[in-house]
Amino acid sequence: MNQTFPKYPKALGRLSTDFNIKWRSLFHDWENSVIGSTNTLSNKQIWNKIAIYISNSKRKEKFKSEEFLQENMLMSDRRDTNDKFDRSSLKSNASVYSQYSLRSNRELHTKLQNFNQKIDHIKDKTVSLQNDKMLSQSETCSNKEVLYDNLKNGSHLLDMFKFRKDATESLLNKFSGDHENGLDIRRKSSSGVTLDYVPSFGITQLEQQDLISIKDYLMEAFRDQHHPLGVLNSKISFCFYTSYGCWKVKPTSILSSQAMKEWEMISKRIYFLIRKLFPALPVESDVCDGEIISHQSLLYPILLSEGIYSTLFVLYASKCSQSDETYRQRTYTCDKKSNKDLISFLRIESNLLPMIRSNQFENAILCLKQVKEQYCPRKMLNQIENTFKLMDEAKCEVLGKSYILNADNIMPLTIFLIIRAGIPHLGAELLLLEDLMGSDFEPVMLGFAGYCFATVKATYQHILSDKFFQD
Amino acid sequence: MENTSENKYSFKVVLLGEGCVGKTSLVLRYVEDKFNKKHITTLQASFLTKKINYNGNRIHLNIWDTAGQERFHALGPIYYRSSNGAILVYDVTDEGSFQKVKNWVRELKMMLGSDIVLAIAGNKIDLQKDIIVPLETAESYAESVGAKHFETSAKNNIGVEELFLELTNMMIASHDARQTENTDSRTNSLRRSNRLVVADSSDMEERHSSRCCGNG
Repeated sequence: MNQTFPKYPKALGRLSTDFNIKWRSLFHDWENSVIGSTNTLSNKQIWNKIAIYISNSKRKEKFKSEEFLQENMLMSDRRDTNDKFDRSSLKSNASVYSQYSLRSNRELHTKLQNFNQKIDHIKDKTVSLQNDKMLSQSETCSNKEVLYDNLKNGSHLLDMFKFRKDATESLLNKFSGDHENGLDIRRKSSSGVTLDYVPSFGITQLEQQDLISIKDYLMEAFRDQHHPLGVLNSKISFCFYTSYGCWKVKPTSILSSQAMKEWEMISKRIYFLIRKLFPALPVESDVCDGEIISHQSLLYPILLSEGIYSTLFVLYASKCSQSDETYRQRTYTCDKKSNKDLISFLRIESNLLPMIRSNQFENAILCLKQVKEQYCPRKMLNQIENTFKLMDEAKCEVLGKSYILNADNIMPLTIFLIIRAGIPHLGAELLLLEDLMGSDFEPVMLGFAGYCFATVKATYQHILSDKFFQD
Repeated sequence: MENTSENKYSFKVVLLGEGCVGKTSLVLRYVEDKFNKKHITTLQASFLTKKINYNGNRIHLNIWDTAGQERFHALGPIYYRSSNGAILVYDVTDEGSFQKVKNWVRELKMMLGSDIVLAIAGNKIDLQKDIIVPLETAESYAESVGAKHFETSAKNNIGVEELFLELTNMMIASHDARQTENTDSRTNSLRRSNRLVVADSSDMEERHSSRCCGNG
């Protein structure tokens, strides 16, 4: 009668695939396609390879879109998509243009001649796009295409003409290898085109500015579908989702630890690759100006997209489903109580009531609510920390600076906050946050953010415990 | 725990004890500069930091106060986890609070073993007449569990500075002892973790499992 039946067979975990082997081929394929099979490339060579990859990928895209455009011409009913393309290209060109127009007015005139000739070419429709080998030329082509299209449409060509010419001018300028100009553009505009440069930061040294530049660069690179890192990112997202997402039945919570380990390994691997690009980054982790640099702090804000976070979250939510259900029921019952009832129920000192009624305290609740919208562990911690700061501001506003909120008060007040904020699946959120922080967790936990996190976690546990309804 | 240079320490100290024994006033007395009391830089009285220079060491103390109410007792582990030192406070005029300290000591020893340095503080010694817990009993108990005993008064600022300084001293000693003890294994593990990024090994599993926690 007392026999216990395990939920899963005991041998279950043993047959799991080694995740290193599982992901190896993906990374190797990617590396082969970008860098090639040689392993001893210098930093410069790697950057060259990346530049080649980007330009190749863009050229392919151009050919594709060209075919697409030709198709469009045949099918006039698709013209509206065409127009969209038109406008977007205009936009990105405009931003580039604005920075160049003043600087290179004179050169512009000489190149205007060339351009006019080219326009003639377009009119004659004799230029073969396939022959374009240089990137600059192919960029010109894109403008030509659009122009050509406009010619076809017989629309406001003349207005746009000047515009396009300038844009072409700027692009030509850029590809002539003017490194600094490239950087300049990069800082000011955010269009994808601007990744076509070799960074000068993070190669030999790592200052605060370098770190910011690296973060900006990576942010662009992982989003850009022409950049090798962007390709890698989308591949990984897809594979990860197909491994652990798309549940047709109830998700299996035992996969959560496996998924987390895999994710950590992926992030470490990517960090290893990025260290090849920016050798100044620390091998494991380091502290730079009081900020911890590690694969978590550098990559998670960029890589932890909503897709990957929610894949992990589903597993964690299923892991914590039981306690989260208790938590939901209890907070739901308490949330119905009025402020006064809730205060006496939680045994909060009655002189804190005006503080709870203040606007700032309301803001603290709102701030805590937003935790569920974040998916980067750092941002979540910041959100929790801000909640406590707001609570303290509320105290200062209402009760004055001399009034001291000690741990005896903070605990029940946090319970109050949690009940009012009503974050669904708080247990899963907290556990996932903790696991995602990984090795960064311990050092962060020493500080104020760690204290706030511990208090929220303690509150959650208190709500679950039997003592919650007892005296 | 994070040591960037040789004599730079960052410690976590947790305050435990029953409600109303004066944990908060003890730590406030210590952290707040007594010469300009108006200048409160701290966010909340429950989390306080103090930077001290001691014997050429630069020490950063993070002091965590905990709720003293009985109903929150079970939440202790969340707070004292990975702390370097604990101050167990009791009220010299309250026998019950001293018994609570004994409970805490037992729990800490069980959960953290020798990883944590303990200091026991008998607070409110300014109330001379009402002292119930005799000094000898408390001191012999402290000695039996390897803790240091202090008599303090947050109100009259007696023994507070001494308490924190001595605790810091003990934490440094314990930290250094562990450091030298672990030197060999540490270099090994560092070398291993370097390799682990490059090659396909499953060492990560070990490291992960060491960081276990209650899953709520």
